[in-house]
Amino acid sequence: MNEKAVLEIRDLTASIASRRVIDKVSLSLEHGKVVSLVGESGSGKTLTALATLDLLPQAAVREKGKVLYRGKDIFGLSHQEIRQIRGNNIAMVFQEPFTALNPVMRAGVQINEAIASHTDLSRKDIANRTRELLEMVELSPDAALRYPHELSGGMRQRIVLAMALSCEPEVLVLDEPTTALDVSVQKQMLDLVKNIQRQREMSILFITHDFSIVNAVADEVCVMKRGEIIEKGKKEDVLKRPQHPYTKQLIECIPRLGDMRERLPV
Amino acid sequence: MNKRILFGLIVITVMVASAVFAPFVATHNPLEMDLSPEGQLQGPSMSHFFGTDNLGRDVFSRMVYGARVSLSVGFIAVFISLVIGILLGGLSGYYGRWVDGLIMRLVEVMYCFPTFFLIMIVITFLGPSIVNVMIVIGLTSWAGLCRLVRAEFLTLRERDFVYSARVQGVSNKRIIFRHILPNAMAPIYVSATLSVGGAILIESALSFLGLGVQIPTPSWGNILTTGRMYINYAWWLTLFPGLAILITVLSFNLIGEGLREKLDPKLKERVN
Repeated sequence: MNEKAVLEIRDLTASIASRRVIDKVSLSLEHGKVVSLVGESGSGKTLTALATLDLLPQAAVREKGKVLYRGKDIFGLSHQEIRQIRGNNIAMVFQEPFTALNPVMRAGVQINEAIASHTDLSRKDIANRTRELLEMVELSPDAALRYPHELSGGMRQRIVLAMALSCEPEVLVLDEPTTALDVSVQKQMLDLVKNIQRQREMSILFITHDFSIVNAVADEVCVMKRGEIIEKGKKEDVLKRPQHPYTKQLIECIPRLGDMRERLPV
Repeated sequence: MNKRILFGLIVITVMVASAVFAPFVATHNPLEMDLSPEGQLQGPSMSHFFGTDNLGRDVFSRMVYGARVSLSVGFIAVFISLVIGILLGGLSGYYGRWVDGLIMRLVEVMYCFPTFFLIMIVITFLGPSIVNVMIVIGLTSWAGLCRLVRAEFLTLRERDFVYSARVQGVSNKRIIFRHILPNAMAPIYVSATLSVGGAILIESALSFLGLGVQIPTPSWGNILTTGRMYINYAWWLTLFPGLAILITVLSFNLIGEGLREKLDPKLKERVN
């Protein structure tokens, strides 16, 4: 369908216990663009993200649809081939920085894992690369020696981001990367992600439920509800002229400074 | 440190040390007999701490050498069952689906046999020896551990950091051994220490029945067997090896219980 797309999801449908959780989802991500997937909890955003790497939980049954990475069907690949894509071409950051790191492993070792799995660099080169990555996410090099419990939420999320960036992936899937952080740290994270995205010309699938974040980072927006994409388009169009009533409601829910309404619409 | 763990560790250290340095600790050659009427069945004295047996051998020295057998059987048997239990339990919990079904059916089959009789039958076929006893105890006692490891893997498998490792393209082998297993070690340590005590008990029972370590090699179990015949007038032949087994097994259990209390956050809350 779309020639320029790096990552394309076509008609993806999956269900858990015969309930549709992803319903004919289609979206495409072009080189260097940020597509934002917005929706309430349980709308199937995270599952869609996991499906792009063929990592749906065992309970989920994929009924039909394709995920194409550079025209290659992800679901048709062998276990080894898909492993080569994970982390190397498509990387992912999860929502909770507190659980996304292994508690018994030093942060540096966890950053190294992807590099060690996908390249055959020497130990020294890997250590250098780790230092580079830490610098990129604005952490001091000695953070590599820390265990996750010794780091703050924001620092952990930076470590997780460094892990994802380690093999310079083309596509980055960010699953609510700022939701668990407080507002000021959120801002720093978003700026960091935007900078890196611009420098490396990465394509990002950014999952969030927060329209103010969409406004800050996205080029295109897809709105999800109950497993379906109900509206998609350019950010400006969707934010200024929402077509679907649900999108309108979501946008009306954003509190604004100086807003005189007594209650936010529910 | 927990008092129970401390007590257990001290006892076990003393036992292990005397087993390792047996030639220096023993006061007599454990195989040397004294068949003169006054040499046989002597009561405890300064020259024979735990007396002598029906062939005039020094019981203390035989027990020091016997500790080598009992402890090494305990440790090696548990090591074998750890390897099998962790491997099968890990595969079962991590891969799920038919792998899990197959391994769990195997575990149920293992549970069906009364373990001790299974061990007795196998030993009768293979012939009694220390090595056979270790292997057979190890091969028959992994089922409980396997279930434990599987349960740990089932919960850890769905944790974010495991997903995060998979997203990075980390191999399954590395995820199992570097990510999940280290996080599952606490209950495994507890179960392993408890099973060392159990394995020592089984070895003693087998030796007592003549299916374990063969005479003249001393083991706590077969010293007891000899003592059984003289229990009416030579109490030291049954009391000391019995006590040794009791104290060793008790110490391992105390360490296991202590560890469980320390490592299980749910129990900790209740204690505080």
